[in-house]
Parts: sequence; C-alpha cells; structure tokens
Amino acid sequence: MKVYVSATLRNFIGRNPFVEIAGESIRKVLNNLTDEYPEAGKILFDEKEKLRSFIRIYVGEEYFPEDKWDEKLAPDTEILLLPTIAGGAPAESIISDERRKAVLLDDSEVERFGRHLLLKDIGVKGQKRIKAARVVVVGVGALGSPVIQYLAAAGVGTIKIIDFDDVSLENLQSQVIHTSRDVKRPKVASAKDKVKNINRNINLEAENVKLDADNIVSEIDGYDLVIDCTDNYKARYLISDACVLCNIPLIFGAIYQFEGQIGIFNMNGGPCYRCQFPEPPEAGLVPTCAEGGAISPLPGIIGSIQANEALKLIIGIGEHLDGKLLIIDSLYLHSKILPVKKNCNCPICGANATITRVEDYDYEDFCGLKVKEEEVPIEGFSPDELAKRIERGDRLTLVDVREPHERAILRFPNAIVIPIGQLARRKNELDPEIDTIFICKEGKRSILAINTLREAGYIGPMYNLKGGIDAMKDIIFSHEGAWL
Amino acid sequence: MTLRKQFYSRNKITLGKEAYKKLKEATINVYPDEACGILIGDEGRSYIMEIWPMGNKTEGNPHRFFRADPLELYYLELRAEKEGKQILGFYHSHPDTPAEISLEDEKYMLPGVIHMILSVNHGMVGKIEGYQKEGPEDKRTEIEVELEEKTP
Repeated sequence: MKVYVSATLRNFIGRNPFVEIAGESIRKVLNNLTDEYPEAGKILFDEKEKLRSFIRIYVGEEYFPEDKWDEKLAPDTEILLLPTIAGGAPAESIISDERRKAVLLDDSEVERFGRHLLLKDIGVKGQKRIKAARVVVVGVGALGSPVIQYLAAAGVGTIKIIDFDDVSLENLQSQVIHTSRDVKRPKVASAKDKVKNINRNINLEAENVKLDADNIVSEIDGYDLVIDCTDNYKARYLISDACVLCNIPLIFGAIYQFEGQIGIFNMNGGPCYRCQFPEPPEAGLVPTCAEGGAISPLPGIIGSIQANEALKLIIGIGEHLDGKLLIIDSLYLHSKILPVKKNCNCPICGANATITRVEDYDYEDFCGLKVKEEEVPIEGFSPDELAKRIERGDRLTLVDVREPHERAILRFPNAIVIPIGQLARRKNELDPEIDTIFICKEGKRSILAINTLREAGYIGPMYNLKGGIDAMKDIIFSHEGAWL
Repeated sequence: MTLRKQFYSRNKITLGKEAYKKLKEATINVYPDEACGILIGDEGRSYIMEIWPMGNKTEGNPHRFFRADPLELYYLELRAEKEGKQILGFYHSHPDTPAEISLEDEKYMLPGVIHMILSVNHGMVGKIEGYQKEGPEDKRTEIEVELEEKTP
C-alpha cells in the first residue's frame, strides 16, 4: 500500500514522501513499516508500543483511530501518516511568583502534604501557592461544608468564611461540617472548630454577618478568590457584582433537588454571572433548598468540584470552568458543559457598564423581593389568627398549594388541594363569597398562588398563611389536643 | 524538502522581515484565540521567509488551546512540495500568557522541527521563543529567534 509520510516526520523514515509498504490493514502496514525502517518505529510508537500522541493516521480523508487498524483495506488505498500539531498556553496561577517565593514549607508540612508534593503538576511550588492563597467562602451550609473542609485539608493558608445563620437540626442532612452538638450555634463557629481540628495552622477568619451591598466590598476586597456557596439569587448577584468591581475570580455553585451547577466567572475579564443569568427567575418560582429540598450527597459532589476548581486556579494547572457551566444530574448521571459567552451589554462587566457601585443598586427590587407599591398588598393571617378563626367555626376555604409529596410529610386538615400550576384553571372551585386562605410550606409560594389567581381574574377575598405550614406546626387545637 | 539531521545542531534562527510582519498579522487577527501555522524557510541559512497560517480546530477553549487539522497540514505539504519550499516547523501564539512552552505543548511536541511560540498580550505581539527536540525521548532545547529587521 502507498503510505504518505508527512514532511515533518520524514527524516526518520526516508526522503520520499511516499513509501510502498505491503499489508492489508493499517496494523500490518505499520508492522512492516517499522520492520523496514526501525527509526520510524521509534518516532511512531512509545516504549509501550502505543502510538504517540502527536501522530494521526488517515485513510484518504478519514481519521483511523486504533480500533479501525484491523479493517481490511483495498490494495490501492493511500495511507497518510500525519502529525497532530497541538498545544496550549500555560495555565497561569492566580497567586503571583513573588507571593509563592515568600512562603516556606516546614518539615511537618512536607509530611502532611506529601501526596500533593508527589504530583508533578503540584509539587513544592504548587503547595506554596496553596499556602499563600487567600480565599473567601460565602455560605457555610451544604456547599460550604465540603468546600471549606477540602480547602483546609489541602492547606489553603487563609480562609475567610461568612454566614449569618445558626445550625439547625434540618441542616445536618447535608451540611456535613456541622454535627448534632453544634445545633443552635452560629454556623461559622461550628466550621471554625472543624477547621482547627483539621489543621491548626490555617488562618481561619470567621465572619458571623449577613452580606449586603454596604459590607460586601470590604469583606472580599484584597482576597484572591471568592467561592459562592449561597442558596439564593439576591446573594448570588450581590457576590458576582462585587467580584467584578473588585476584580476577583468567582467560583459559583448551586444545587436544586438532584441537579447541580458549577462555573467560574469574572476570570481575567471573562464572563460574569449576569452574562449567563441576566435576570433572576420570578421570586418564589424556584424554591431554595430549604423549600425545594436536595439529596444529601449532591452538595458534596458540587462543593468538591468547586474546591477542586479553586485549587486548580491557585496552582495554575489544567483546564477549568472559566467561561463554562458544568451541569450535573445526579439522579440519571448525566453531565454536560455549556459554554458561557460574555455579554457586551452586561450592566456590570460590559463595555458600557451602568452598575459602578453595589451600594447604589437595589438587589431586593431586582430579585423581586420588594412589595411593589402599585400592587395590591397581600393580606395574611398569622398561625394564631388562623387557628382562632378555625376554632370559631368561621366559613373558610383552605387551599393547600403544595405538591403531593410534600403533603405526605404533613397534611393540613380540611384543606382542598390545588397545586399552583392548576390554580388558574380550577378557580371556579373556589367560592368568591367566603374568605380563602392559601397554604404552602413557608408562606412564599402561597403569595405566588394569590398573585396567579388575581391575574386570572379571581375577585374573592384571599389571604396568605404567614410562615406557611412550618409556622403552624406548634399550634394545638382544643378539639384534638395533639400536634396538628 | 527534507529535514536533515544537521538541523539539530542549530541554536539560532532568523525570522525574516516579511515573515515577521505576516506572523504579527496572523496572530493578532485571531486574538484572543490561539493562532497556529507553518514556518517556511531556508534550512541552510536558518532563515524563515514565510508563514502559512492554519485554522485552530481545538475542541477546548481556543483562548487556551490550539489544534491544527492534520489534513490541512497534508494539503499545505503538497503545496510546499509543488512550490519547492521547505517546512522548518510550526508557530503558535499564547494569548495573554508568556511565550514559555507549556505541558500541553510538550505533549504534542514533534521531534526534529522548530516550535515557535509568540506571546500576544492584549492584542500586541510580545516575546517570541523557539524550542526543538531531537528525538521523541530527548529533552527539548531552546533556539534563539533573531528578528531580521533588528540585525545590523
């Protein structure tokens, strides 16, 4: 068969572009070629007799990978031996060489991080960069748990953790940094103890505050990297905007039920969170994990990938999720990477940015969390008021708008069941002459339900159960003398 | 148009005036993506007289990676053969990063030819470095890249 040898490989094989080699398949031709030209064998194959990464074999215009090497070919077939010309720019660390050089590793650190030092791509230089790094983790919940613990275990020198919440029993299902003994303690205090147990030498800065437009810049300015482990849109936009303004890369992670997302934003002027998500979904439409739920190990998967991306950026290795969004479905084990394009008209990172200070921007309004003045305010009952009216025997229609599987956890007696999606269609089942009270888990979706019915033209009196069925749990009715 | 063994002893290559101008255009045109192409020259004089750009067909992020289509190279080789021109090696750009050879570059580094790397910072051509290695298992060495327009 006729074999074309690329000019760039020819000094190992002979001077002619074409050589005539006998054989009926690629494998046989290659065997005969290397017998005839032992030098050729050395350039085509490595010592394990695997084709080298820079060689490609074509038959005509078709690429022939190894699994096609045994196909029988016509004797007049032309085989092309071509090189792959490929490469990439060196990944740059977000930690400068000066800062890396200013760091020393002591004997115990050499022992502790031995498994990192063994890796060619990390080594002593990489470990020093990890030690020099200053990382902010916002949110010490489900995602924050793995992120903080892995960063601490990997030896990140300075970790700032920010959360305003206390540990509650329901957090323990997924927030593995906290334990039963930590319930009712501030989350940052519990996490600080855990990190101290991992490595006392880590400088852990615990901030028990709620981030808002007035304090975020001072909290993150001067750090190398911010990792968003929050669970709500207002925090995500606030963090992303502040990162753009402070020029800090952001590792975003989010989970919902069985699905998670990870992305890197604002890396070297790359796309930001707003470029991908210009607007949040309508308030109340997408529940947070507290309302929508999430399977226990999911934040472990997503948070671990966030921590892994953080270390790669710090060390300056590999390919990362800059300008990409990784989506993982843990239920059916699908994953995909979507490209994220920079939006030239982005109000914060575009050419004509309109947001120049987070303090001047109304995040509550942007995320639809404010009661708009032109809207008719929604009236509601507190659990006590509702309980009184039920006790009094008032004529009421109670509508439970939760999904069927949520009702299985806790049922509301005498409530009719209409999931949110069916409300507009089934509005005739409601009597506009009597008061109708809408019930959900936390009292948020019920507001959405009332607005939906208003838009559908329902005119009867509607009320919201404030705090939802969660707030109603502690009410005891005289006739039952038991928990609701 | 063959590559002789003596080639390896070379430690300096001159980048011709016209070739340098074309190289700057070719790399800036595709910035922020990585550019790649062929170096055509006179081996005896260690002189690069032309550059022939190739498309970046990487499946990864083109700002960070490049990959040339082997078939495109094949047709350019046939053209070089016809025109009696010599392929001395390849160039590619590193957008916003130094002209240092990366791990990825070394993985695909073809023995026996020049690999020229240009740093393109924010759309401006910066440093140019040259690399080569003799055999597949040999260590790479640096080649000095001299610009013709700067030589006296």
